[in-house]
Amino acid sequence: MAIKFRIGNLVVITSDQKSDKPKKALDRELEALAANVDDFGNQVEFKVKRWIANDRFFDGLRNTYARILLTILGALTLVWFGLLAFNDPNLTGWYIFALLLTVLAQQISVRYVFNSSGDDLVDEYQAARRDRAFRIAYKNIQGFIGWVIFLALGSQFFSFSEQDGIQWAWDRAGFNWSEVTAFTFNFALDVNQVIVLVAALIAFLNLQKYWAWGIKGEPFRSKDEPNE
Amino acid sequence: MGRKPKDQEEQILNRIEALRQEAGLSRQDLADAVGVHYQTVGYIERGEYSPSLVLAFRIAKALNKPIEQIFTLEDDQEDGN
Repeated sequence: MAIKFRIGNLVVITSDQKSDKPKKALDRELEALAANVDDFGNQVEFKVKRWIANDRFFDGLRNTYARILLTILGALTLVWFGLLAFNDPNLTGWYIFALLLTVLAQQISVRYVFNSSGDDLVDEYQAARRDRAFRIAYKNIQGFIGWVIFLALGSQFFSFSEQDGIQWAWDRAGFNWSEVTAFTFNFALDVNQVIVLVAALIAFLNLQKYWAWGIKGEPFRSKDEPNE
Repeated sequence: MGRKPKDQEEQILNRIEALRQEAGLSRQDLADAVGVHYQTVGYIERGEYSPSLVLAFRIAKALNKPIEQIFTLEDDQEDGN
């Protein structure tokens, strides 16, 4: 049993060698086992990714037509299905599932270039295109956040009602700047709607890099261009 | 001196496809030899991507040709004609 005590600023920890030895040996074995399990898991994941990234079976997801379709379907899933799920709690699970499928299809379409931690799966062309996509995605997200902030702040300066239409803050009777600059936002959302919004936001940010990758896909295998 | 806009940059031309076929290699064979994906070989052959110097030298080695026989600048070829 280890005892810890303090003398002034000095902290002394005693250890019982007899009881610690078997424990340390067990710890080491457990750590080694955990490392082996991790290593095995990583190897399996890498092999699966390498198979999907290189197998011709998935080439149908990689050409230009497929990329256009994936981009349109992704946007529709995100927005249209998102609106449906926002209003119907029964669709929340399906919405998240559809988003996961969308992201998975995009990952396969670009041969997992955004998922490889090392460069084993990615050659220099893919790395160059990946880095370009990251730069474009970063700029797009920057623009999106800018617009959100602009619209959120701008919304404070007018109100809308069916009777009066748009009413500007400074046209309102008893206009007071402190009302406008208080920046109060009221949202009445239930748990499902919050889940849908968060899922949509995560998917939106995640899909940016795939959209920034572009719709240009890999060429079809043709008789004139033997690939093998 | 600033860098030229991309559309005004000189294009690097290559003879990889002809030399590869001459050597009896498929895109996959060449890709395996130089350590890239076979699609990347296609992008390079079609001039859609200019390889790094390292890759260019690897390709030259795999095709057993001097690098200047494989890659030329667009201007150089026009001068030669």
